[in-house]
Amino acid sequence: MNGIWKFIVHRSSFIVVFALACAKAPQPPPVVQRVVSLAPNVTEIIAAAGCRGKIVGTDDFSDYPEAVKALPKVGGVEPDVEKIAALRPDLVVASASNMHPNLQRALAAVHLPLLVLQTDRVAAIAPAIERVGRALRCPSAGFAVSTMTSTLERERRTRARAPRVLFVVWTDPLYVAGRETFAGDLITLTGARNAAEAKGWPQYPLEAFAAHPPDLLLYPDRSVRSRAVDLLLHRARAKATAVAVDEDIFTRPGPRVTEAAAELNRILDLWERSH
Amino acid sequence: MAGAMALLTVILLIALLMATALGSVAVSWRAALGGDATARAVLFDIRLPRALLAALIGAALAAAGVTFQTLLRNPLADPFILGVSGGAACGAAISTALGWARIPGLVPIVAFGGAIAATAAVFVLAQRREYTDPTRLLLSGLVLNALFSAVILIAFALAPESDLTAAVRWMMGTLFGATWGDVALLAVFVAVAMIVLMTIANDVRMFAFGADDAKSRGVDVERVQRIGFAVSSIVTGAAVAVSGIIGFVGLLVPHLIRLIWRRDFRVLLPLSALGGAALLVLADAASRVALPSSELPVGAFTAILGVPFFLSLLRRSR
Repeated sequence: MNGIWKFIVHRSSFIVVFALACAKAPQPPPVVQRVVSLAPNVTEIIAAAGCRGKIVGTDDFSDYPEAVKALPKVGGVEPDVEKIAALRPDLVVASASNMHPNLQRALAAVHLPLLVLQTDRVAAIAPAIERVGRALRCPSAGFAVSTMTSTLERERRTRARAPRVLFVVWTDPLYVAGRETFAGDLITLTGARNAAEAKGWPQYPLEAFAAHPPDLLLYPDRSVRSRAVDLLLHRARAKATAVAVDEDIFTRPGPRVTEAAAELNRILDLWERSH
Repeated sequence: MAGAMALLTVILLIALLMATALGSVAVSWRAALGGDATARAVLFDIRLPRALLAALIGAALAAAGVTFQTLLRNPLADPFILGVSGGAACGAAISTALGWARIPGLVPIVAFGGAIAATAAVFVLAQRREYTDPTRLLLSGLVLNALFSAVILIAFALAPESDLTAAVRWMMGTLFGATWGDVALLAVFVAVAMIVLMTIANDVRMFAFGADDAKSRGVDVERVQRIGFAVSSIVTGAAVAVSGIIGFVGLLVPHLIRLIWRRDFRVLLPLSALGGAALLVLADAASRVALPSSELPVGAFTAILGVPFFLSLLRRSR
């Protein structure tokens, strides 16, 4: 008798564990009314698709469009899941590039569905807006995509004398935007050449900077100080035109990429005129 | 002894030459001497000070390491054991979390202050009536390092995202942007430290059989310990403030030297300094050329270069 019960309990515990393991991730309801955004560019993407009214909470850093500043904040890279749950969203949207690896599990534990958007390159923005449009049934997603795409195409340039551009994200040590990044894509789109050959966000050698200084050095205006850039140029005995750019539009892959492209073209045109 | 010194000096000079010749940009000496401004900038303003700085840091860490190992009679002692690395990293992490990393030059000063404060704290904790108990010293250092690690993790969690990568790279050790000013500053620290350590070297040598044995031979144990620890910690703090935490050099270079030459402290000290200098110069050169157009942390290469050599020596010495 004892042995039989042991056997049954043993086997059924396996089945229970197996069933739990196969449990599917929570699915959003057919109509999503309340959404929480976990990244500033995700907020902008949702707003561009026409669903700003559905956003009930954002991460600490979302600040565009203006209206989202008043919304409840749920945290940064490791958001407060309790705060998110308290907002009773139908869907949580995050960006793949700065998402905590445990986020899916944490949200599943409180039965919150998660939508993860790939937004690391310029080409990934339009599909992200479309995905959001489908998931949230946003009215103007298609319109936003076509407007953004056509504006972006208008900003595409080829230049006879393509200047070498370096997008600096930190000066000591020197970290730059390489190929296959959002900033790298912007540089290529506007007809310039990225002085950084490597992919991703490499640490750039000081002597390469000194021996072949870029024509233009761009840096985000909040994270990098102009003093640090001056010091870098002095260290390398290099001459380069250093321009501070709006960090919000140059480091957030979102609908405002058109503004970033326009700004970059303006900077490049100015450089071309004076050389 | 003279032969060993000469050999290591030659190795160091070759290493310096290699480090100046290697880099991501192809530069010729002739062009530099001939007046090419770019070549001159690369060779004399970027590579040479960086190579010399690597040599000074390697010397400082190895000398501190061998001093700690001898005074504490502990082969696992390294220059960071008395809380120096933890204190410096703590200072750097806190100042990064406060956003000070964007102000050029501030973080190294805070890091140095942290290193000194940590060492002082460890000493105060380890004081006994007659002398500084090495065991209490080690334990205090261990415990404080653990505390600093916790503070560092918290600071990094709160630091602005954009400053984090640089802070983490600092903790792995970096000689990026070394200036002649850095070289001059560290040269003063290293020179003073070496002179002081050589002065007390004969007394330090007596610690080989323990503090009590040294005392019975007339050594002022308390004074020698205090000077040895203080000087080693200060020079390590200076090195760490400049370049971050470069591990391995201080711990294993003295062992490498001891495996080859088996001498007492008076000889081991200058030999370790030379050996540490050569190792770090080579490691830094490797970190610059390993990848075509980016740099890797130098601490990885001190281990990659040193460990196989150390293991082969260990096997042969059986």
